[in-house]
Amino acid sequence: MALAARSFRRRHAANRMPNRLSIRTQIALVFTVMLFLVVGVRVVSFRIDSKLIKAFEEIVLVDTPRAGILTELKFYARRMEDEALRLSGSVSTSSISDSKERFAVLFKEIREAGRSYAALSQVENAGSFEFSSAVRASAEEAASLVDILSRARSSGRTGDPSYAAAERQLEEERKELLSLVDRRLAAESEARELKSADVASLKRLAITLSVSVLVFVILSFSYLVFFILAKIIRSIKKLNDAAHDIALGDFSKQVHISSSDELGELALSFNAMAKSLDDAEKARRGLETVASERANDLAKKAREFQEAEIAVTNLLEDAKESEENQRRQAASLKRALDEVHKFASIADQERNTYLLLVASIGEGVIAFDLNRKVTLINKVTENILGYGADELVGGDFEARIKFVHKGKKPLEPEFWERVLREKKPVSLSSDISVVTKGGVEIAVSLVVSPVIDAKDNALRGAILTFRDVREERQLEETRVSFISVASHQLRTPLTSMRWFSEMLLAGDAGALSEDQKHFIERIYEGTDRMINLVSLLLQIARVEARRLKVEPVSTDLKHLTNGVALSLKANLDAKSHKVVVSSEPADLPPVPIDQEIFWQVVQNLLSNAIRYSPEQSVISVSMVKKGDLIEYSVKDQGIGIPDDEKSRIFEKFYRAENALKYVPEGSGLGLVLVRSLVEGWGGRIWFESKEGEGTTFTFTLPVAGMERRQGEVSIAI
Amino acid sequence: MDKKPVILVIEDEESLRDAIRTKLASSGFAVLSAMTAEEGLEILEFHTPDLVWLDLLLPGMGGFQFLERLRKEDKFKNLPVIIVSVSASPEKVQHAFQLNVVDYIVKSQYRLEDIVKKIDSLLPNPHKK
Repeated sequence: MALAARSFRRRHAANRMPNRLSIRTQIALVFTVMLFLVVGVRVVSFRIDSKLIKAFEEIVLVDTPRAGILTELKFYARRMEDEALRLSGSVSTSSISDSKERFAVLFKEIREAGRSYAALSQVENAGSFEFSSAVRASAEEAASLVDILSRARSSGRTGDPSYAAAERQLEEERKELLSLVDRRLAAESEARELKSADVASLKRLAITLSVSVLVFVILSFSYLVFFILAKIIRSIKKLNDAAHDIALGDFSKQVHISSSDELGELALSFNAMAKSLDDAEKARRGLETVASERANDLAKKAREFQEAEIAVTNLLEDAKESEENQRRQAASLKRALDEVHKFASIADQERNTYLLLVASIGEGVIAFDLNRKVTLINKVTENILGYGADELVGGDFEARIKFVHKGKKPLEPEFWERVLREKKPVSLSSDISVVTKGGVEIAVSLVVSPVIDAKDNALRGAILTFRDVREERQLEETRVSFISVASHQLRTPLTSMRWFSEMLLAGDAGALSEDQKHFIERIYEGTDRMINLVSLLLQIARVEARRLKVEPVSTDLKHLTNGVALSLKANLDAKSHKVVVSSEPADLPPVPIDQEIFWQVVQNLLSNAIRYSPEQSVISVSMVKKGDLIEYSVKDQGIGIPDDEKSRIFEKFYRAENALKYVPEGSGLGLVLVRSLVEGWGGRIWFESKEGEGTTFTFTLPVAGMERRQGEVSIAI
Repeated sequence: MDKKPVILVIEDEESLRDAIRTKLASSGFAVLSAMTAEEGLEILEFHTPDLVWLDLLLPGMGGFQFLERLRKEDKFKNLPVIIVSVSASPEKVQHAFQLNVVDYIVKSQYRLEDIVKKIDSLLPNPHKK
């Protein structure tokens, strides 16, 4: 394996082209260039920054104070004028000396200003030194002139022409000072302008540099992404596709990457790998073929060997056989005899066990064969029918055993034929009786099953089991009549109470006092409540006793719903309620349902919606087809059901707290009946509710409708 | 003076019969009452009423049996009968209308006054109060 790898690399080394840039180098180059640029720019901008800082420093530390000094000097010049004027007007010795003092101070200040100016200027500006010296010189001159003038004034020699000359000279000095300052100001202003121009151009340079760098960085990155990255991604995709093909077993796919960098190399390596895999696969297949041929050869040889072996063994055996034969025959005969004895006794035992079992079965058992001859009966059968086993077994089934269905003739032969033909059990449990030896009819329930031999699936006959159901029927009868008697007995006195109360209230027995009227109204209401309660109880009892008949008829659900709403019109109007009926799809096809039952359910739900909603609410009824079910919902905007009472809503007589307060005369049975009815047709019922906002009851009805059911009564009372 | 219309009431419950009689009388009707269907038939031999108020659940001969007997005779073929019963079973209602009753009223659903009003609308009664 290692050898192969080495020769591979040698073979492909020639394909490398070192003078083209590999991807790594390209990336490295880009980054290096960018690095240099960023550093270079930083250095340059650093220098620009230094220059800018220097310029600002100058302005703050030098130019501005200098300008300030010049302004001061102008001010001093003004003061000189004032002082000169004052001096020319002073006469007393004291005022003259005062004036002289003030002049001295002034000149001192001027000289100070000049020195400060020079100090600020340092080496940079030769002109400033000149200026400073000139100012100081001027001040000296002026000082000596003031000296002369003050002396002249003190000694009273103001009329001298030298005095006037001195005065004129003083004025000249002052003007000289002023013009010096002005010239200096102009020079400084010029210098400042040049400096700002400098600063401005530096700023422009800085901006240009930043922008160029930004542009270059963006370009470099774009190059990186679009050229280099995109190329890498494309190549990866090509490789991925090829790898995928190889994974699926197709080794012939080659990857074409034309560039001569790492990606190109990768492609070449990949292709070589694919080719190796291909070669390996071909070699493997070759080997497989060879191996299977060899295996076939071996198998053939093995068979030949086996055959030879068998031939030899046979010959040997033949020799021994004759001797052994006789001995063995004797032994096996003895064994067979023993087995037969054993089986005989087991069979006997089993037979006895089965007979015992059959005899012990608590129901009557009669077995008969294909010719309808009785083959077996048990004790219970003997007891019920009054015949002995000897009288029945072996005889014709119908000779003595008579089953009667619905008071008509005995069960038709077709019934037995069906069992035998369809090879399935058949049971009859209603309106069947059997006639005893003494001619008495006894109500029974029976099941007939075919007897099929497990070995060859052939019919051997049938077996019938039956039991005496007289007691059960009796119980049923009692329960049935109880319900109907209860119905009548309970409702008659209630109706009587109701009618008499009604007559009292109508004044048929004379006028009533307010109190009497009030009391009787209470009696009347109580009676009404009882009547509702009794009706509901009876309906629930009927559903639970499974006596309810279901007679489906194709019905338009929306139409029926509107009918129920119409029958409740008085209640709806009394509370200004509105009922909205809708369906999805809009043209819901009719469904086969028992209209009485469905009416009960819808009426109950709508009544509840009306009773538990405040005035002017809307009650929405919707029917939605979902697959093979229809979801029927009644939604109200009423008092809702509190969360902690939701689990008990379907309990008999249960009323939620808020419901009790809102409608005190409710029975707590309406929903019990609704649920029984819904579940009776295989539907489900549930609700969603929020206290204070409303409740939605939903039940399901199969699109195929309700199943027909035989029953004694309907749900209508 | 016009005769008061006569109603034959066949109802086995004493208290109910009492109430019905009182109400009908106070509404200006003359009332004949019977406890059983057999009694009703006996009364009919002597007097033909203007309307029969028939309960269905009767001891002995039942309401439907009575009605069938009634309809067999020409004299009573078109005698107006209203059935007032506790049962609301649709089969019974259907059977009743097949036997040509004028109305079928379920006791628990109706006020006595309303039943009487119905009867009123069926018969002319100059003695109405």
